[in-house]
Order: sequence, then structure tokens, then C-alpha cells
Amino acid sequence: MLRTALSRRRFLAGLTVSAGMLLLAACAPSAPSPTPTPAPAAEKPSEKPAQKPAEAKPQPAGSKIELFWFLPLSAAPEIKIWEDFVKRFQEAYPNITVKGSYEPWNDYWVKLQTVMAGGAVPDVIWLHYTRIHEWASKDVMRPLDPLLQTDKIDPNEFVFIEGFKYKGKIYGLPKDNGITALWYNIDMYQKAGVPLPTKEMTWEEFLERAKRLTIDDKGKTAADPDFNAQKIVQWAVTMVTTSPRGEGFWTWYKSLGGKLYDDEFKHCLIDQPESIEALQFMADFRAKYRVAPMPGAITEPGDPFRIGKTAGTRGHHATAFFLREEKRTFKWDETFYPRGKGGLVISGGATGFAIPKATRYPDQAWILTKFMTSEEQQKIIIAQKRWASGLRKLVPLQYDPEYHTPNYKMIHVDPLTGVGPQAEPAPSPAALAEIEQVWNSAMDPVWLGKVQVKDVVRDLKAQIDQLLQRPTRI
Amino acid sequence: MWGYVFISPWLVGFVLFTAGPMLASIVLSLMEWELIVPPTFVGLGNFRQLMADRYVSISLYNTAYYTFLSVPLHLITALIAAILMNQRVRFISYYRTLYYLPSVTPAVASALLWSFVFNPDYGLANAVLQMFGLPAQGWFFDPALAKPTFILVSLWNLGSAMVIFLAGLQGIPDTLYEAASIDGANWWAKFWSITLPMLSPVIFFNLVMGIIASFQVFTGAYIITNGGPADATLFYVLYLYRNAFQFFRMGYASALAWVLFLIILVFTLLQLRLARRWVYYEGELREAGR
Repeated sequence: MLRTALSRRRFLAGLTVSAGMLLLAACAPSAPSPTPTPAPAAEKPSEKPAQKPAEAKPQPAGSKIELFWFLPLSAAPEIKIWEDFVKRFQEAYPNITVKGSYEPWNDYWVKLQTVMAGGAVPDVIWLHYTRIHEWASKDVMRPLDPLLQTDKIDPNEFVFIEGFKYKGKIYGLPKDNGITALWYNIDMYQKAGVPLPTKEMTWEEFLERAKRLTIDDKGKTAADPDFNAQKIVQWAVTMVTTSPRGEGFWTWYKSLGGKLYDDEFKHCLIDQPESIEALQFMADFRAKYRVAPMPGAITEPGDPFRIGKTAGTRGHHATAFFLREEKRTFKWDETFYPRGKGGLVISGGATGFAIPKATRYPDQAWILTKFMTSEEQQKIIIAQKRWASGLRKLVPLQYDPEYHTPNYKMIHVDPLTGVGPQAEPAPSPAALAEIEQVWNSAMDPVWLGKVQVKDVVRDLKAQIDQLLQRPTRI
Repeated sequence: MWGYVFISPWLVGFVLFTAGPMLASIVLSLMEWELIVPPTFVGLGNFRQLMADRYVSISLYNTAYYTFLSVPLHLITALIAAILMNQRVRFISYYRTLYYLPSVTPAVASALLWSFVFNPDYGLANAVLQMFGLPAQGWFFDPALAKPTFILVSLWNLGSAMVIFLAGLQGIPDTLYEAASIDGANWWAKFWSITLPMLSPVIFFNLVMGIIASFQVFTGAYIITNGGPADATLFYVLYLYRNAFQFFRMGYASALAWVLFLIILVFTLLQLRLARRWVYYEGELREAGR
């Protein structure tokens, strides 16, 4: 019998080489699916064929293709709704199947980038408008303007389309919308003998009302001299986010007169006197007057407003849905955020569908995007009451007088349909994630009431300017 | 040959999931790679940037502060606990289990529990302080107290070190204590001249492992404070995580990881060198005397 001596060195070398090869194989981009086939235009004559983008490769006809889309969904009922969309799409386009990956919102961005890095590029993804600049500036998304032009689709049919633009080009189509409003618990206001908030209310008036709505364990209010701020049992309002992402911060800050960036996103403007004053008001609102809970003050699980710990909150249209689903018994209503030096500010945003540049099936991805943002499907989306429409002409259909309070139309319909002042998205530069880090680092002591805004703002502006001026790929 | 075959599952796993990614991260540390765009070679650019990054200094300071205070405290409390658990009293095995229990509690659950205990408004910690007429503290929400609070919390998890100390204590021959008693040694003399020297290899082991683990502190800060307030708990690995999974700067995060590796390596080598002066290996002396 032939015996081959295997030295330890040779064994380990062989093992390393084999494992290395396995590793390389594992890290290689996933193999492409069978040769893709575009859905024949004849499948749905009413749809105009999407323009073939430059990156699209010629695909032989005849076989089925599979689209991969990546969505932030975790609740089973939500997934069911989206799978029904898939079913309807596949019925309309039998040559295209859609495979979905549904991830909880918190993990969505990490997993999306990870699968893309692994070579499994989704054909259609969800993007929030605050991420459009970040993604588009990396030159990984497909501009949709040529496709919209070919299909003669007016982008202004979509709400918050400005939020989906980067350097003048459109990188996503909104599929929903959300406008920030001040929601309030009517029972708590009436019990405290405080007038209900109105759209004419100023921030100063709101602060005075808020003091009377903030109550300690002995029943004293924040307006009383012997109020105990360590034993608060009810607050006037849940603090909006303290970092400059999204419309929650923007509505409050801008209405107080604050400015964030110049129009080109090259310079930060928080060192201007009106910005400093706005930020200081926001900080004092919580840390000095204690009318909003400090971090960690509420330990009960659930949304503080919905569980009855605060008399007000920032919310959008879906707050009504959650209050009803949870069968909350208190009376509620909503209005605009108060006015300040910046006047009345109506801000909102949307998530939308976007197509990565590296998709293997750009034409089919566009067909799916159009399908999901079409009038027919959008009507189904808004019928759930959980979401609002991305299509401007359907926004009036969101309002259901038997489900919503009368103010709903003023807040969630008029600002998107040309009646009165119109809603705007919050400014969201490409480096927003890193801006949030330097912002939180500098502003945390301010929100805790330990430092004044004027003491941190110059250094913070310099850091943000540096991030704004960092070169981008496009 | 069969020996290698038997250990090959571990070796393959090690090469695939430890050595392979380590080598890949060396290459990545020389790249700028934002995951969704192809990597570009930047040479030592990430390391140069790292030298000027204020958050690297902040996170290194925070981590060093945490390490140099928590590790000694952790060792002392674990040793005291081990000595107590080494007594011949009834139900001692239950006490041992009780003390070890926190080590098997999921880190996230512990973090949430401690965030309740140190809640400034409703927490147990402030309730106790106020019982003695002392002012309530901000704990995790106070930039000056956040790190000390994490150090305090780290003491909760002394079970693993305690068990190793306990094994070390039980390995000390009774004859040494008996001889010392005959010579008239009191408790302290026995502890100082017998227990500590005999236990020094175990102390050394726990010290090395403790420092390595402390430099990688992450979970509590991620769950409870997310690095705040005002970066007071921005530990190095949390900053690394942010770069990798929030800013998607994988190249820079890899460079950060290798700097951490080098720091830990230097500290470990330094300890190995210093160990010659204070760690007593009975076996070595026996070998030398033979």
C-alpha cells in the first residue's frame, strides 16, 4: 500500500489554499440568473415601454425573468399587503416574477448595502427622501428623468418630488407621503383648562400652555412655583427629534426662524443669530421649562402620547391609524405646529421606489416602479389608512370624514393640492449621517441644558461645513 | 495525519471566518469602500485620516478611561467574590450559581435592566440616594457620570473571572496554609504571602483577558446611550461600528480595527513582559530545581 507522508506544514498549506479558494468563491458576486427577458410590451398595451437606459444589456426574448426588490417591512399584515401587490403585478406581467426581501426598518439600510456589496443588487429598492442625496451622490442610482420623459409622465404628479432630486435629476418616485403635525389629547387639555392649540398659535403661546399641561406627582404644573421637575407624571408634548434629519426637526426649527444650509449645501447656517435663537428655544423648551420629557424619563413601553404620558406629540397622518388600531379611548385632534419668526412651516416627506444603476433588468424594474406608483395601486395603498398617497391627485381621497377629524384635510390634503401654503421636504445633504454624528456630539449638552447654543455652534458649523464640502462621485 | 483531519473542521472555520476576514480587512484598510460603490485604493490615506480624526481621540480616551478603571475594579471584586465563594458554608453551590448568573444573562437584557436602574427620574439608584438625603444624579444622561456609571455596571458581570479565581484558589495546596498557621501567620499574612503569589498566574490571565474585553466594550453603550451624552460613552468599537454600518465607510472602519488590534497587542506584550516581575509559576520553579 502506498502511503504518502503528510507533513504538518504541507497539510496546513493545503488547508489554507483550499479555505482561501472557498472564501474567494463565497465572496464572489452571485452568479447571474438565467438570461433575462424583458416583458414584451404587448403584455400590457396601455403601458408605454420604458426607455432602455445606457446600462441595460440586450436580452433575448422568450424566457421569464425574476426581479428582486428590497423593502423595509416586518409586520406580517404589511408583508401580506405587499405580497398581494406582487401577485397583481405578476398577473399583469406573467413573464416577470418578483422576489422580495423584507427587512425590519432598523436593519434595512445595513442589509440593503450589505446585499449590494455582496453583488446581489436589488432591481427596485425603497429609499426615504432624506437618503436620496447620499445615494445619488455615490452614483449608484439610476436617474429616472429619461424614463419619465419617454413615458410622458409629469414628475409633478408626485408629491414631494423635490425631495427625490439630486443636482436637478430625479432618483426616485414617491409612493406615499407624511406631513408633520402637532397631535394633541383633547381630554388632557380640557382637564387642565388649557385652550386647544390652533394653527394661529405662536411658540410663546404654546410654551405657556405647555407649562400648564406638565404636571408633577402632587398635581402641580410647570407654571407653579413649587413644581417638582423630578417627579413629572405628565408632559405637554413629546420632544421632536433633536438631530437635523427629517421634517420633525425641520418644522420646529424653521418656524422658529432657524436655517440649516445654504441652497447649494456648501455651508451650514446654524451660526446665524436667528438660528442660535431657534435652537436655544428648542433646548430651553425641554431642559429649562421641562415641558417635554428628558431622555429616559419615560420608561413605559410604547409611544408616550398614545399611552397617555404626554398631552401632545409630533406625528403624521398614520397617528390616527395607530390610535384607532390600539383602540385608544381619549379624544384627539391635530393642528399645524406653532408659528414663530419663520412663520407657519408645513413640512413633510415620502419614501419612494428607486432603481439601482447595477440592476440587471432596468426596463422591468421601471415597469414595476410604474406599476407600484400607478393610480390603481396607490388607491389600494391609501385604502389601508396606514399610508398616504404618493400621487398628488389621489391625496384628497385620503380624507375620510368618518375616520379622521376635520383638521385632517387642512393638514394632510390642502398643503399637497395647491390650497394655501404648500408642504416642503426637509433639507437632506449627502453627508447627513455624519452630520448627525457631529451634531449630536456638540448638541447633546445643549439639549441637556448644560451648555448654551452660542458656545458650541461655531465649532459645530466648521465641522458640518467640512462634511458638506467633501467631494462626491457626482 | 488523522489528527489533522479531526481538527480540520475548526481549522477550516478559522481560516474562513477569522483569518480570511482578517486578511481581507488588511486590504480593505488601504481602500476607500462605501459598500455600494467599488473600492478604490487610497494607500495609507485611512490611517492618515485616522490620526487627525477628533472622534478617534475621543473614543480612545473614553475606552482607556473605562479600561483602566473597570479592569482593576473588576479584578478586585471578582477576587473578593471568589474568596467568599470558596468558604465552606451551607448552600455554597447556590451562591456560586447566583453570582455566576449575570454572566449568562443576555447583554442586551442586562443593558435595558441597568438603564431602568439608573433612570434619572424613576430609577432605583436615585431612589436609594434620596433615601439618604443625597441629590439625584443624571447617571447615563450626565456627561460627567456616564462613564463611571458604565464602570459600575461592568461589575455586575464578574461571574467568569470569579469562577477562574475560584478554580485558582482551590488549586492552592492546603499544606501551605497549614505550615503558615504553625508559623503563626494571621489571615492577612497568609493572603499576602500565599494566596496572592499562588494566584498570580490566574490574576495575570484575568488581567489580560479583562483588558482585551474592555478595549472592545460596545453593547451597553450601543443600547443605552448610543455614544452620548456629548460623546461621553463613544467607545472605540462603537465608533468603529458607526463608520462601518452607519456611514458605510468599510475601509476606514477596517483601519480603525487594525489600530485597535495593534493597541491590544502592545498592551498584551507589555503585560507579558511585566508579568516576569510579578507572576509566580510554581511549575517553572519545580522545573528549574529538578
